Amino acid sequence: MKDTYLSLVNGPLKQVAKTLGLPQPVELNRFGSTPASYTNKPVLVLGTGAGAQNLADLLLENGFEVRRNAQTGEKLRAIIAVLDDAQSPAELSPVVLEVGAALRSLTTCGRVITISTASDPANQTPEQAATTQGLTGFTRSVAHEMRAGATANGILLDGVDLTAPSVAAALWFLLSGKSAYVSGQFLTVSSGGGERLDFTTFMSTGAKGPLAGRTAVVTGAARGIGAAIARNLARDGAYVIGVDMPQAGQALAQVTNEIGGKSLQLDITAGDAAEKIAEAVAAPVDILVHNAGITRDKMLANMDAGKWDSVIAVNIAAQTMINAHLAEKGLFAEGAQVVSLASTSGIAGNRGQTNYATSKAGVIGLTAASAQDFASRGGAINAVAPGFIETDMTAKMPTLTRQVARRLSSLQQGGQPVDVAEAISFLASAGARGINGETLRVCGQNMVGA
Amino acid sequence: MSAPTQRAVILGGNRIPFARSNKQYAKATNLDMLTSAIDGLVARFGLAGENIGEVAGGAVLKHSKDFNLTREAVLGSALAPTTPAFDLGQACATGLEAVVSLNNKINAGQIESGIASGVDSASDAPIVINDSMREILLELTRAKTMVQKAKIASQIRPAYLAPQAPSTGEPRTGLSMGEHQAKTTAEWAITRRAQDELAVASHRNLAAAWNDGFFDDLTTPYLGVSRDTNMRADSTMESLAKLNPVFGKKLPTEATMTAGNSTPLTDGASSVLLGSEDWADEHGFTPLARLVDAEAAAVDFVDGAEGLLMAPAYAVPRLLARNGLTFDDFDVFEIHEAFASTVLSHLAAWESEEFCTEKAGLDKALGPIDRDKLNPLGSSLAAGHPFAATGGRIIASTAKHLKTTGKKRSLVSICAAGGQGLTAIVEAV
Amino acid sequence: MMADSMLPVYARAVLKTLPVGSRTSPELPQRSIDRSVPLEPVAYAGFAHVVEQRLYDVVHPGYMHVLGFPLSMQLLSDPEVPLPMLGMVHIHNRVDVLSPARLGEVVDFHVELAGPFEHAKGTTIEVHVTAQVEGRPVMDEVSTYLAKGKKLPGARARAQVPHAEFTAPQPSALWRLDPIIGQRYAQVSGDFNPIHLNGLAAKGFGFSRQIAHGMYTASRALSAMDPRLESYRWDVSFAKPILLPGTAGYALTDGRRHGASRSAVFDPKSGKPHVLTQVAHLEG
Repeated sequence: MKDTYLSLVNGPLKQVAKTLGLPQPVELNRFGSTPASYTNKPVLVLGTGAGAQNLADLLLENGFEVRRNAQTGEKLRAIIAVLDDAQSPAELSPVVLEVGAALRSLTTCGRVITISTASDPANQTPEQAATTQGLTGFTRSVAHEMRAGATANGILLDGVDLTAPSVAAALWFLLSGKSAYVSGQFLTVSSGGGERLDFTTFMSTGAKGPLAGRTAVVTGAARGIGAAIARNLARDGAYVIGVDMPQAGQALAQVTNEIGGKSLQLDITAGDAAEKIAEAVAAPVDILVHNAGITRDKMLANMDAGKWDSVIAVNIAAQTMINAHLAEKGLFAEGAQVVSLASTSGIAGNRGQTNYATSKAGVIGLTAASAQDFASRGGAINAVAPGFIETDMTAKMPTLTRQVARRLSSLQQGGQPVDVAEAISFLASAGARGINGETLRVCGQNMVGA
Repeated sequence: MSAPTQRAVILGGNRIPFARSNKQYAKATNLDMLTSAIDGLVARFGLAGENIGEVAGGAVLKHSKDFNLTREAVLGSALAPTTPAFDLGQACATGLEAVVSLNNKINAGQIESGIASGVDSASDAPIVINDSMREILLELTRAKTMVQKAKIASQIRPAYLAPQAPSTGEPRTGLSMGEHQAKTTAEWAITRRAQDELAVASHRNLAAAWNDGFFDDLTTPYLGVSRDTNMRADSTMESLAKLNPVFGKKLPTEATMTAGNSTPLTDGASSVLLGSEDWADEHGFTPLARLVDAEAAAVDFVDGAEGLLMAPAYAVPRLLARNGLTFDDFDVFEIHEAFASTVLSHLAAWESEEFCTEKAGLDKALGPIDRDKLNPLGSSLAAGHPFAATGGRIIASTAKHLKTTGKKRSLVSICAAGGQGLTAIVEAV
Repeated sequence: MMADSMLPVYARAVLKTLPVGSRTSPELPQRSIDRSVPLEPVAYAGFAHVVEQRLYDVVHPGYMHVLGFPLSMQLLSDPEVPLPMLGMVHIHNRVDVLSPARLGEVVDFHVELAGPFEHAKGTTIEVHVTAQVEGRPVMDEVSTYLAKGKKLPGARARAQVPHAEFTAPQPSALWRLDPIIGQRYAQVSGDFNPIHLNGLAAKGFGFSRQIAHGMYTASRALSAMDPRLESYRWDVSFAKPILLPGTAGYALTDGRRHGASRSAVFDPKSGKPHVLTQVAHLEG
């Protein structure tokens, strides 16, 4: 969906919008469209502990220019605050104020990233918990204050230290254009699993890309977000098997022929869907993206069984069944990674979408509850919850609602299908296996659902 | 036959759903449809950009500009443009002949992989100017002077301008295939009821297969069509009984052949992927079945000594004899339904002591076929019959059927214009 | 058929050439047209075959131009447009294919004019066409028409697409074009401009013979380039028209078939270009 307002305020109406105080969204830097004037700017690493220095070293090794103190007049591509050693809320002051002082130096589409310890009330002192929980409020609020396409996100260390491979992977994701539409979110690293990925590999494509040598199954791949996911996984080096309903076969064939993949016409709600998928892969399943989903919106008072049941069957029951079957028959590969599509409707609820929101909240629950099983094979399962993404589905919204929905996010615009695809590609990469059972929102910090 | 020469296996297939002519595919050319059928196969097997040993195909109703139809389809497809292709033709047996031909090339070690294909459009059929006009035009191109040209041009008569309508009639007899079959139907005394029953079974079986998702990995939708449009799942004896006969109305016997128990003109395309076992293995493909042998036959129908579509009745006994098999050794019989009465005439011939001993050179009748084993997935009466595409439809379907049911052996039989027939044995691997 | 709807448009265009009233204002009327058109397989197939495009679900963007064309002409023939429509030359056409439009879908067209703009050889007007399917943008098109030798005082400045030096390559294909191609393309496009249909009319506009439709040549070149991309920019510059009957050379001049590339359709004897095409990835 084209956002005319976005083009106008970056073109002829720029001055008008400024004078009137209208929202001024900017075109986001995405993978492949990030200018050198952005990537050649330094990263400011703040924090006084050993962790901060380790992180600065990691960035240096990966070719970033690093500053440990803000220098006047110099623009920054990112500010990283390492606060993993904070023990009391009172200690936060110097570092957060330094972040604040540096904010004006942040370039367009810049990044603020906080790295801190995940809250764990059962094992923390009240004061520690107040500190760690407090920092999440800090990061979310900074995200709300961001302007000009900049984002703020956090990496939470849950029983691991900064050297965990997934901390690096999360860092590369958040620093790159691949996270353009992710803001106000946290990536929790809960294990030292996963492969160590350098930034160059993370940003490479094809046979050198982060998914090279892996096979990915994507359901609902014929159109929209599913087609974007298939293309993205292929771009990052994966061999992709696209799955969609037999009726969508011709569109599916075009997508898979274009990316040199394979198509599988299949109703995922059929009892033998898991076997058919395993058969098509002809090897244990390595990456599985549950993207297929439908909407049948109706107010609950007018909901009929057909509308309710079909949404539940496609959006949640099918993937529950497929995961269970593949796990039971030993058809998941060692290190297998599953990424499911949830939705911000599943977090905040949505009028007219009781069936859809139930199914998508269900995905979040399924993901969290399956984490341990996937960890036992050295893999992981995660979900991505898109917010307002410009697709056929959102295009059907009334114009005014659509315009308002777009501006509600901190980035003041809707996301693109590729933004969702990037998050999925990242969570499917071997570097991200230390992130497990989580739901990552790709919503531009849309206020819906906080 | 010794084992080492049996390298070829059937790996799968793809067709576009068949559509009654002059409907959804009315404006689609043979090239359009064939390319789409191949592209769907390429997508299903992940062959984009790959070189295939050879692609074989053809069409019965073919424009002269389509002299290289299959190669043109390859160039328009997602296959590597360096994949060679050739056209062939054996009327309605074209599709099966393409499979047999590539199967033999793989067995001979000449190629490692092949795509056998076929397509036909009765909607976009070539229209030809009539012979008188054509001769005058050819004369004109040979004329040198204006006077000569004027003289030749003056021979043109208004009647010559009428195009010659495309026809599925036999060139030697001028009779349509239906009229030919009507004579055979009468000779074998095939009843209207038996024909209608076969038609109902064909629709019922095809619809059941579609509903089971059997064709999910054998078809790819085209131009918004996602199921065979001729199929009538609700077809009953009562509904078929209401139809008036269309063929054999001038014969002294009762006319029994209706639009319901004859195959309508249809548009469509099919393709079958074949490969050596090694090639399949390298690509991670699971073989479905193997084509172990084939036999063609032809009959002299010109002066009425034999029925036009009776050649398979002669081919099958020879095929069975060479392979040391009887009907009992088969789990499936895939007999192409040009007309319901064609299938029934073949069955009657094989049950006839007289036919088998006097005409087919056997010492006794081949015997009956268990009707439950006949066309278990429906056949052309329900699916329709885009001539050259039918062989690919049958081979891919029966190979998958053997694989999914664990059955062992299938007999495939296709009758063709010109008094020909092609038959084959497909076995599970 | 579109032919019917085009007749009053041409009639109005002819009337506009008469020296009646004053059209001194350089402003274009602020009008636009919105219309929904279904992508009907049988009608589309005719177009696809004339421009040698394989028929499958995704519609050739040249057909989207065709569907927007009568709406464009309706706007251009408006008496308040300060330039004569007849005799205007289509010099440039840029289509952004944003996502595939498929047979069976209904396309919502929005057409408006922009300009007039200054041009070295006269004044140009642009037709902007946007097309959506259920709110999903499928195409943005800018067609640039030049009124040769006409200068309007208030015309705005506009950066012109620079004329690149053209050296004819070896043709990889020769297109032998019979005069009937004019009628065939007119039938499937609804563009019955007489200069494409008969020699006499063409002479009236200074051509020695009837000429091929520019968008026919452009669409056929795109079919030959056969881009297999989800979205792309299809940019066409029209140079010398092809006289019918005639033989045109075609060659890819940069890139590869199915991907980002450039092609040229040119006179194989003189080496002069007819139509230059670029297929490029869309940014972002």
